[in-house]
Amino acid sequence: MIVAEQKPINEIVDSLNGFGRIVIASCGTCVTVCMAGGEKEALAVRGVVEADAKAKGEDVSVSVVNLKRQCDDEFVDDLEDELLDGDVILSMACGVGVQFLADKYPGRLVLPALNTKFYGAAKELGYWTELCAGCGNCLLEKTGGICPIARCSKSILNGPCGGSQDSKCEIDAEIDCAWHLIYDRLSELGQLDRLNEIYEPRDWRTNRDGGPRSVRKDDVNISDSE
Amino acid sequence: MSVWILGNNNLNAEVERCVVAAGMDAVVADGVDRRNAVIDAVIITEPPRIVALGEDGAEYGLASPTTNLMDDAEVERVESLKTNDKIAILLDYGEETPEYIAAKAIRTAKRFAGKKKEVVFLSKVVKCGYGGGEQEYLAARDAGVVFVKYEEASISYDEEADSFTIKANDGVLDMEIETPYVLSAVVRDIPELEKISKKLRLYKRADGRVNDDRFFLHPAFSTRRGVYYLNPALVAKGSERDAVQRVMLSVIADIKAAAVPGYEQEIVRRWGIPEVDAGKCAFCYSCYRACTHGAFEPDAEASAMKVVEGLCQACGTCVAICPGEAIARKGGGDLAMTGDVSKKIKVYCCENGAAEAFDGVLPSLGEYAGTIDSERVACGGSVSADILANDFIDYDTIIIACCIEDACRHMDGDRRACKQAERATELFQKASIDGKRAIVIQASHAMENVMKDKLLSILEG
Repeated sequence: MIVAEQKPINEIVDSLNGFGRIVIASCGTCVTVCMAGGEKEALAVRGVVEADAKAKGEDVSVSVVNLKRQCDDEFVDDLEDELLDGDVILSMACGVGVQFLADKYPGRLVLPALNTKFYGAAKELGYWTELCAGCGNCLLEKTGGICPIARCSKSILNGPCGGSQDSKCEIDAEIDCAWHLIYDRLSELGQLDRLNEIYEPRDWRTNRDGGPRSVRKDDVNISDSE
Repeated sequence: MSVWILGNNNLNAEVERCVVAAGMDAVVADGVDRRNAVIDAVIITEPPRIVALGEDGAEYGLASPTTNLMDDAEVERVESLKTNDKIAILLDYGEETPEYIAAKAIRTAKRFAGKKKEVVFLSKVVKCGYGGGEQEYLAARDAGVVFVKYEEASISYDEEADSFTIKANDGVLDMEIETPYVLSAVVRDIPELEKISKKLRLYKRADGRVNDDRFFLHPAFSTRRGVYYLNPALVAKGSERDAVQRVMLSVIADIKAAAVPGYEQEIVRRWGIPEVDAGKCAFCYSCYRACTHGAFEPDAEASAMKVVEGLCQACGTCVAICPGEAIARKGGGDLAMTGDVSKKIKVYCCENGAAEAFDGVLPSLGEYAGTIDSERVACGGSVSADILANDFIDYDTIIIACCIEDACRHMDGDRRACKQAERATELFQKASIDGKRAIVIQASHAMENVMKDKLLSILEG
């Protein structure tokens, strides 16, 4: 899932300065699961924004609208009236949701409340780690199911580099060396020979380097747009 | 009624006999399927794995392991040796040594000393608070055992001399013992027990216990209703058979009592069972992971969590932690975001202790009493940062009065309360909204003085 965390609250409060009617839009999917932008977090932000207005003696109204998903038309349409019943939308969604609303409502300012971080999973309650970089050309079959692109600090393909020590990355002793993990896993699987392959310089066009990407599934998307 | 007996232990036969004698069906099983875990009761008998220092390598880096104190044959071998060397018993535990190990160590030390052997007993904490323990400790001292309570110690092994060197410091003095005979015992992770406790979703802290009698006032009762753990500590006293029978009396009484409708559910009736709104549930498993009573189960059909009513203790942690606000108490017993806002201060009082101290102190606060708006909560852990943030619209100071450290009957309530208060205060500080503070007061029902002092220091600013 997409993992995000809330922007520093002062940035959020500052960005809302001058607006009298604020709509906070939570998102019920990834950012709820990673406890950054669900209804609970939206309520907490509302508390701070209202308390701030009260302290400054300003007349500000704040409402919370809970969207199941901010990146699909139908969910947004259902709550459009509530969503547009203000001067500004503070989106508690990932960068996708913020832009989706901004695209959908060109006349309305949509502000982000979160910093979108990575694709990852919860290791334990309240602790998420990055597992995928969305590079567009998965090579997990060669590396024992451990991604060197996302989990090696340098994203190198013929690792480990000279900087890893005692299975930890030189960037931070808390970070596991991905290539150490790959070696251990393949060794456990009895497939160390997979490491004999030398990777040529990678074609990064499938990654962000090829510009914004899109996916079309023709058997489903049968529009005549082509 | 059907009771499962899980784990490999030579006590299983006796446990089974007790269960059958009580008119229940006993099933001796070697594993538990989570989907079938909600049965009448489970008794775990899997003993922990105990090794000697150095036996499993890395931690002590000893080239040769010491003698395993819990291995009778090994201990007898050392006992039968004719030697003038000192014999060291080293219990290297960060905190208290598990009771059954301490008991065995003290008895062994006394026996050795009785055979004219010089025995030095080293540990960080000498635990002898178990029944008859103090007499055993005194008898061991009388027999000549030297007890050393250390702060820091290290052990090394010289292969050539076949001898261990123990260096210990008690904060003032250093001592060094060289001896080929060191008896020790270290409890290690037990994969089987880990597996069982994970499947039954017993609450655990880092040190890997599956139960904790602080919360349930009986050493065999685990953190989950209907799951019992036959701790080896229990069989360290007296004969094994007697000890098992004694413990099983309480366990069986508890199983029977729990089967009576309404048993111990007063707290649940008062606060209301939480209910999951399947439409809002993100199926994120946060409640499942956070619930220390193991009271959530996935409802695959609804793609949402559901509450197992017989296990829920109505603490409200799930309501506080659910990121989608999908959990609310049936009957609307949830916290009011604001109360009497004409008051200056809001106090959330955990009903398990702090509330009593607060109620006792309130009349003595004079004119301040009228400035406080208080609300009882089932647990300090049920107060979340969003509740606090919205309270701050009207109140400047919010106090969460909860249990003292490690006394929470829901295990983590006090720790959660502290973290939520910290977070809410930080939110407002960062937003430069002055004068808002959430403060935690940790007090038991008997700590009225502490409650009063802390309240006054807050009220007097």
